Amino acid sequence: MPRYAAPFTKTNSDSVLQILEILSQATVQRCRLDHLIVKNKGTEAADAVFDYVVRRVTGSATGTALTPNPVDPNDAACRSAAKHIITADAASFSGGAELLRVPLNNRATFQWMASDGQELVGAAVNTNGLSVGVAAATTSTFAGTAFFKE
Amino acid sequence: MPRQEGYLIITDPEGPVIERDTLRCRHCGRHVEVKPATMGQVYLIPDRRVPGGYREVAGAYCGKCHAPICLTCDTGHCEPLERQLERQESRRSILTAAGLL
Repeated sequence: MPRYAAPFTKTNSDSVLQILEILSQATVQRCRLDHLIVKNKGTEAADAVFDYVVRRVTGSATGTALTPNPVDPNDAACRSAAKHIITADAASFSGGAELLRVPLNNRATFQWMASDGQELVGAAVNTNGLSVGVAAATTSTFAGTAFFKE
Repeated sequence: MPRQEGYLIITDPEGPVIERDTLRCRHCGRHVEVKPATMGQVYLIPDRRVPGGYREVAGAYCGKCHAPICLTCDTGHCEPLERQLERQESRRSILTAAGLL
């Protein structure tokens, strides 16, 4: 099963929940998120808690398309579509099934990884998939990388 | 002892590095943090009202699929993740075939 890396950022000042989305396209396949690294890049002067979440989504946000790269250069190009620098959240993000929630100080970095077969799974339905975000809308800036299989 | 299903590392410049195992719910696929050295029997639920930011809760287990589940799925109804995904995927393909999507 090919593995892909999606390095993402949130550099805009829009107050949004979503940071990254990975969605199946017309040629459907399940995406399986197995490694996530996220850092708040802002110059945060005071302590504050961010709840990072990963949710299933059933629609696309408005943002900048990014091309996930195969970790092994011999693998085929990624079939899923990914977006970062989200400017308007998908309506389905707030109520999407929550698959991971990690609260931490805004100055902290976190990474989460899954064992083989225990990944976070998005349905094989056109424009359905997984999204990384925060529980409360923010204008902060973030960066990180998501690794997934399809 | 349940095998490690997920692993979380929080690196905070203001405090010690936090490392925790996570367990995957067999019904919805959600990963929940587990208290160290409890063999997955105690879940750590994020809760800002308590010191440390986590509430300790007894873990849940499905007696039908014999696997750990999250507290949201602890309803007595057993529908494994694979069946839920297949239902979601087949519903969408039926609607597409019928021209409703």
